[in-house]
Amino acid sequence: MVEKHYWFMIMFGFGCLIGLVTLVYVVRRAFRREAGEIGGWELGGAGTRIAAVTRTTLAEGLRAKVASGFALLILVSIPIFWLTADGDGTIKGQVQMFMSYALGFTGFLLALLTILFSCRSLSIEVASRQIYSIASKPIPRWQILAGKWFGVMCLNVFLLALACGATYVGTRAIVSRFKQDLAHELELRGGLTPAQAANAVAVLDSVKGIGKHGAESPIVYAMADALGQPQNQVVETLLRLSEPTRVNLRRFDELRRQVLVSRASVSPKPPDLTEMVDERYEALKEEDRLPDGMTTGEIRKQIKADLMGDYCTIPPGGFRQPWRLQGPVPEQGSDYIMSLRFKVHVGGQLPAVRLPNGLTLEDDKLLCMWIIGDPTTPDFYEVRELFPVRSYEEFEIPVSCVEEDGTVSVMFGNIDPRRVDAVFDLPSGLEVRYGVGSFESNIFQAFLAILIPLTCLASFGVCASTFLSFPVGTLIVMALWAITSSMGFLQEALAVTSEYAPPDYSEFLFVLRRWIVDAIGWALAIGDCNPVDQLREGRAIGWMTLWANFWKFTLLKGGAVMFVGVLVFRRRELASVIV
Amino acid sequence: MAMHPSTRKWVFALAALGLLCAASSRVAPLDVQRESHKLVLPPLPEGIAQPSMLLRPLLAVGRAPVVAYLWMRASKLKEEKLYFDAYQLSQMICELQPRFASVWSFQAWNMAYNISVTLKSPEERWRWVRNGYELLRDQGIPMNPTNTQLYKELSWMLYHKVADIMDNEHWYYKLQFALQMEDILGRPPEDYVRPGRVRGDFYRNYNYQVLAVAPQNVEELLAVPDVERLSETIAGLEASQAQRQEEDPQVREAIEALEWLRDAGEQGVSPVRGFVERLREFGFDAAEEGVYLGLLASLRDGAVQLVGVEPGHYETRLHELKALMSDKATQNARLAIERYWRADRLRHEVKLDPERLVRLHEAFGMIFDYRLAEAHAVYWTSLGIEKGVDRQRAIDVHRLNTQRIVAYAVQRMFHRGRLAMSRNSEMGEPPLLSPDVRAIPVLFDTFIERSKEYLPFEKQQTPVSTNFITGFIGFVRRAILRYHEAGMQDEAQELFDFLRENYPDPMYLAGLDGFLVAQFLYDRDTDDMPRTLARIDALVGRALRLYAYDEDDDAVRCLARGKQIYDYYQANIISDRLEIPLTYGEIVERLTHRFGGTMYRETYERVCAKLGVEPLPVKGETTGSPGE
Repeated sequence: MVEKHYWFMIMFGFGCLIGLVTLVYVVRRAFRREAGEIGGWELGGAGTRIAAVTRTTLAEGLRAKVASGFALLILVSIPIFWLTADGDGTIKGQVQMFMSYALGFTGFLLALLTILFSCRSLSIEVASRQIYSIASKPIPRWQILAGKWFGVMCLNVFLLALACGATYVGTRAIVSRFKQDLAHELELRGGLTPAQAANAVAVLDSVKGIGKHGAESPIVYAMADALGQPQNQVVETLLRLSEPTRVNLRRFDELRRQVLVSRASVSPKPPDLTEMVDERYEALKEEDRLPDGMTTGEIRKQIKADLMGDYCTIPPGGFRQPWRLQGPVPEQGSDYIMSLRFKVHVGGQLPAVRLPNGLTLEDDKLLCMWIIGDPTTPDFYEVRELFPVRSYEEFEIPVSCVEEDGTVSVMFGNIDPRRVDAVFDLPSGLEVRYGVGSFESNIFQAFLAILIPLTCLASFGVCASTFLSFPVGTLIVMALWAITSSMGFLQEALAVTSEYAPPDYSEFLFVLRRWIVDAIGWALAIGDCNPVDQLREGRAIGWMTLWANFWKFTLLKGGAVMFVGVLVFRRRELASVIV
Repeated sequence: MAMHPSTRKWVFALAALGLLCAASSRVAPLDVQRESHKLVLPPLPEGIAQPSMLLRPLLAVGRAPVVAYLWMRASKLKEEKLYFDAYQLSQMICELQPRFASVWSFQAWNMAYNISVTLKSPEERWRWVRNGYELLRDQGIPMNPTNTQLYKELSWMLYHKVADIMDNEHWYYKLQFALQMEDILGRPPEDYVRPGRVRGDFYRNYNYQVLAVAPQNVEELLAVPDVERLSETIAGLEASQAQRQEEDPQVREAIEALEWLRDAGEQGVSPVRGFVERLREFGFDAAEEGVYLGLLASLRDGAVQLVGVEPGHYETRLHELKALMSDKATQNARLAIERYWRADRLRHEVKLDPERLVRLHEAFGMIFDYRLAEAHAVYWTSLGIEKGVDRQRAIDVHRLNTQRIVAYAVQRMFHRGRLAMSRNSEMGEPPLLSPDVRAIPVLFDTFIERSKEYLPFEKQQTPVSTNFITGFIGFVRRAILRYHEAGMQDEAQELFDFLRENYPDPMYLAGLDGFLVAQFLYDRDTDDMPRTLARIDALVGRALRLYAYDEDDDAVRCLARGKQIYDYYQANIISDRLEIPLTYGEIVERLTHRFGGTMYRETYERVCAKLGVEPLPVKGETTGSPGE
């Protein structure tokens, strides 16, 4: 394989060699004591000096009106989103859209602000010779850069806190407005007294039990208890409400339990197939049926893929041996709701059919049977329903079917009479979600998670400003940010996603291409969690994820970039010596 | 001589300003030239939402990446089943490509078909179906008024998704569609229903003529009427009356309404303003959208509330308001305001132009019931055929398909176009659909008209082309049966004679009666008791439903037919042991109680009262939760 691409390999090796030599040269030069710098790498009194630079950076930023312009934009955009976010017309969609757009747009603006602010932080001072007044003072260069970085981040923290606070208040205001409208409608159309309407609305915050449609909904039972009326009377009252309000009543319950919370998830662990791969490989070898033209690694990989496919596929009429998912130990007696989220695939289009009993199975919907819990005990929960294929579906499961140690046993039955294979994309295609915290804790974690990429961007910007002019630095960092933001798209466009396997292509070149794209992705990545999406779906970001992101992107990568910036800045001749 | 830097800046600024002014002065002549060379798109009709301020500049710059991003986001979120902003994304995508018809139709189709079916509850599904067709109707078509494809897509969506039975939740869609239209058109007056006339007839004979001649805006409504214009309109209507063989009471009503306005105009006063002012004293501004029709609805429901009334005077003021709203002297003004707002809602909410509706009804010879989605499909189809002149092709597929939808829709109206709403419709009870014999002549003419383009190329001398012959004969046979069931013997005989003359068949030799006997043979082929009872059960069950929906005449016919079968069977049994042990009345009573269990209590009691059956007592209600 290498022989086929020897020219490419020589050039590639040559390039690597040049890169290595350059790196060694730069590092050696960087650590040489330079005459122009005062203080070197000393740490004593760093805090005071960094704080002083931070203050001047902030003051300079505010004077330049870039920051205040962006702050104004953020402050104006959030109320606009609050007023215009209709979502899908339901309360849940409205809240999701507001949160998504408010925080998404804020993140976008802050990224722009970070790039502009950090890229101009030093370069403008150098260009306007203001740097002389700082560089001539007893302050090491690394402390100047650190001060610049902190100045940028202080502004980010302030603006992001403002935006998150506004988003939180806006979200609560949407919910509050919905409750007011509901109470009004319960009085006007439902015929309830103001006190009854207030009771009925108040009880919505404490509805328990898994969500169901129509008269079986736990909302009906909760309202019946609150009003002291029989369920059928509550149902009739609710039926008198307008159609959008009835839909919203159900969606509000979903919003309360699925979005305005913090939910973690567990997925089934992929099985260890090594032994089975070995067995099958040996069997093929003994039977002399190993395919020609493939290396051992490739054959084993193929066998593993086949076995994984079998593991994820449930044939028509078949039942999957239970997946056992280890979740947290449930709190008995509390409003502890779990839900099962999954995505099932079938081959091709599933046509609609009408069964002899008159039931219609719609197209692209699979008749599924889910058994949650141990079916030999009375506590198991069964769902037999049509679910759309190729899209994520979710249904709630009662706490009673969770085992004492938190294990959830999930069994799937492919009972669709159209006889197609059901395939799960494991592990992401099946997960159990459960509440771990409040909405407030989640929005705080989202705030921190949004900050992490900004810290990294600030490092890139400050680093660029040490040797590039403001426009050039901004352009480059912005281009890098655009590339990293569209990395998923790039991977798809270059056909190097992890799911893609080339049918007829030189494996070496493909692997190399994938490796290069991955390396670029890794080098430019500024964060690997999506806090806005997670907040919108009520998914917990988690302290572990935050910590992992923090050390990877803020400490390691941001630190490395800042270090390069310091090295460059130390070498930089700020003023020509005129003799 | 070197110029001072600040002076130079000012000189450049002034020069830039001067050039800008000079360039601006060329804009108008350039626009004229663009228009003369047909390089501009037609302006959007009045009242259509313009693309947002943010998107407008993007139409010129940077549109492609934004569109690409929005498409990718929409696809990604759809894949993850996240539809929280799907509607607004679709709107933005369409606004960025406003003249790209395929984008509009794709986005509408995506919402109505793809997104809707992934949802479970009928309410949520309906929201997306509605989002789909409203995107086309309210935005896509107004921005592309000459594009036939969009009219076809809209008509098809209404016909296939709402009117047809292909979606599992189609009953819910039909109900909501009908409820919206009833809200717009208003409810029948209290004394409307009488023997021979049911509630649904109000909509089947709705007077769109009076809406068509109503003012076009509030200013016109409140102004002193333009006598000259009114006189012209009256003259036009009278001329059309004169051309008719008999006077059209709807046109007469419209003329009277206009004459009343004209008389006021001749005296130089606004006939409506005074009433509007008086109503304002009660806190209702009839010139504001939604207020007047809301007041009518709340008066009807007894839920009207006055605000700002001094304590102790509430009942007096309420009484005065009711007196004002039922005063004979204000009747014409009230009607004028009500008609204006109903016409306005028709134009703006469902985009139906009353004038066009009148012309459409004249062309088809039938007033469509717009509670049915089929009627809307016909409207948009006819509009598409009329306005679709954007593409000059030898064969315009969209145009052909658009024409076909008319035939489908009218056919469906014949089979199930008589819509009856339950008294509990607002509680979610679906409507009842039965054949609408009014559609028979329309469908008949449609077959004849459509055949004309093929007949010159065919050898046989029949009124209908061989392309449609099987469908046509089947339709006429069914039409004869429907006429017969409805007691319209003359019409049945006329169709039968047509069939016998043009398409001879041995089955017509025994005349109409013989033909009918042959058609209802299965009602006489009842030598088997279970089969006979099943047939009787079906007919009585249908009759009970018809009673529940206040379609009493049809219910009586169903019961009578059931009785005929019962009597025929009892008279023709060969052994006493085959005799049905219950009288027909007992069967009806038994079935009434059985079907009554699936009805609302009030409905059940009403049906019992109509049949003279004693209703069963109410069962004890349980209040326990499922856990108990």
